[in-house]
Amino acid sequence: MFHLPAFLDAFPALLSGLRVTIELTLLVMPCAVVVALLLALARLYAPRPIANLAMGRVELWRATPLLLQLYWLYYVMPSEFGILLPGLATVAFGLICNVSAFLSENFRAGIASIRAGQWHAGRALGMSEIQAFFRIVMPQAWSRVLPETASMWVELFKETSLVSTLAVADLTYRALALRTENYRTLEVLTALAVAYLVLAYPQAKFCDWLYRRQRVHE
Amino acid sequence: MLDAFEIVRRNLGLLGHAFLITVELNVASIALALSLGALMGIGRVYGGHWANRALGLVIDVVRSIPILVIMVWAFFGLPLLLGLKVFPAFIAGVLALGLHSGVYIAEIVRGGLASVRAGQMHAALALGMSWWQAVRRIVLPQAAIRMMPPLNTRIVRNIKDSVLASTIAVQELFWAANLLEGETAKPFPIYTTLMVFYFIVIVLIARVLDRTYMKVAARGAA
Amino acid sequence: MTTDDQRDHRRYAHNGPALIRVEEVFRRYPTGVEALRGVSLIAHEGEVVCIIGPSGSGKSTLLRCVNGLEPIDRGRILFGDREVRGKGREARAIRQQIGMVFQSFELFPHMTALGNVGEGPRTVLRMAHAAVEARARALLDKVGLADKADALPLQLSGGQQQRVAIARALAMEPRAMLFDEATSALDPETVGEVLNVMQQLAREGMTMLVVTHEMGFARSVADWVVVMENGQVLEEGTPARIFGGPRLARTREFLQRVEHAPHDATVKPE
Repeated sequence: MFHLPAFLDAFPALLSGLRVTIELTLLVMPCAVVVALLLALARLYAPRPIANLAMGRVELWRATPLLLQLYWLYYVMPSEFGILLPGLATVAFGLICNVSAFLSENFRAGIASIRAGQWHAGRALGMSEIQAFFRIVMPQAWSRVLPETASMWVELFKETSLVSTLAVADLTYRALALRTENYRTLEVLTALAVAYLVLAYPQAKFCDWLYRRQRVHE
Repeated sequence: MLDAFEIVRRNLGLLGHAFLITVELNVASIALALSLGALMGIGRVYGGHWANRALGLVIDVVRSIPILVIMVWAFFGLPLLLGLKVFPAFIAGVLALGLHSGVYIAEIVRGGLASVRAGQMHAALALGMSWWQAVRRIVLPQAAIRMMPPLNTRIVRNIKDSVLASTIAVQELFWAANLLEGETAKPFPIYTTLMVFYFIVIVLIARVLDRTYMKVAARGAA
Repeated sequence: MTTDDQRDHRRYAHNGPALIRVEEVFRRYPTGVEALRGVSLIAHEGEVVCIIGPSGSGKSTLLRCVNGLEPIDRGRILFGDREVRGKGREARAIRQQIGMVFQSFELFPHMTALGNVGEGPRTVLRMAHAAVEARARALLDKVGLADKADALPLQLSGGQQQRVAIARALAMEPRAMLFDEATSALDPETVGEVLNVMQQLAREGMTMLVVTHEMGFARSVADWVVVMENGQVLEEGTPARIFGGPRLARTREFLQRVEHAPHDATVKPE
């Protein structure tokens, strides 16, 4: 019933989709980190109205389903605002907005967890606030937010699969397309699951290791 | 602008029915996830070395695969594997969501149980309790309280993930929205309404879960 | 050397039969550490036996073994005429007759003070609700915490928590009590209130095995003092003998070190 050659043949066909999945992850993550840092800083140090705005932006993107967000951008932006971006750019933008919202919560907590005394100590040495932030606070906060940031990376890697519903030809899209070509549904979908497994498993294990390491350090 | 939302108002019947399916889908999958998670988490902590290893592997495998892939596999692949002719999309959706959330909950349960100090077990046994009495009355309640914050996050996550069931034609809210959009080509009012709806519902649920935790938090302190 | 002391006629003169009997017990941890290397001791009914010695000498391990919370490799431990073994229904039956108080209190944080004290009678003895409550309230009153019945452990001071823990152990109406450094984790100002409760118990004739760093308590309350080091009994005797004229140089050294320790709290003289 399970046809092994069909299963194995599926992998080469999935390769081009894999490229898109990896590219999307590599493109989105650094952008999301930068946006998240800005959001976190705005919530912590900006004047009230801006901090509230940042909070609203984060809450909105955290409390709604990603798929709905992507659909909204994909269909509403061209029809209402006349912004017609390529599909890939639209979903990348959506993913950046979504991932940065979650990351900014993590960053904010990490920065807030550094004792005020550390700021004072840096300032007492004659550093400016910006120097104190980058030289004293950020390095300490970084090691605290690292494990969760890494998990977010794995999350993102998996969540890029949603873009297949918007005709972006990622790994999942290729598999679903292949399924309708050769009707080897079980084999193709299993190959798809295995492909994600092989790629994400080491990443997930790496995250576990980061969490364990952090627990030992603190 | 408001006229645009007329389309939503006229289709409240369809959306209401879809909302019910969303609720059923979430209640069923969260119940499944909690049971699976509790069993696997307890199994990992108390089941001995090999149970721990085996369950750990299952958990790692499931959490390495995107929920969307699990969902399409459950709907298209599973019935072929089981030799079933008819396989309701709703069942596939519940299984996929329940399994996916379940393995994350298993890790939460494991962490919660492990966070209760060994001394608590000793103190319970020293009173003459049996092992099972000690787990049930002393370890589990404390662990449960400490599990609540990550568990709440997971439940909210399950609700958000449930829109993916639309891809296997479970006729839930997002599926209904797509149907309306296809018929009317008016994405703005439809998707915006749904966005606002999910935002309000999820913020409300998160708040209720949070409040519940605050009420019992002191009882879980180490 | 220990046999001499155990035959000490003064000890037999005013004590009942042996209740806890530890005979040549060995305990080696999976890590390879030998916690107990042939320990023997006896606690007679109604007697307070204090076990003193430097940290890491195996005192706490010994207590856990007496309660069957930890297995032993060799030797045997008798409670009355029954042997203590690590597992099963029989071990549980013995544990129900032995109360234990821990250094870190180990109150159940999800239950109130009253709930903690009632937990044993309720879950283990399956007593009726009203009887459980009456017994728990009486015991909280006994340790001076009647007004804290509805407080959660988090809301109590260390000394109060430990007194609740003592009441919790007493609620099983045990024949003997084990105290594992019951005051070591306490603030100096609350040590006294816990020692007073322990002293009162001793006066009522409770059989007690007390691991402690409080030399004042050992000196004034103990009937018998056992000095341990490196998993062995160094020497034992009446408090007057151990504190007045220890025979071994190592005991003297240890006593000199702790007598000058700052946190030696005082117990009201009888």
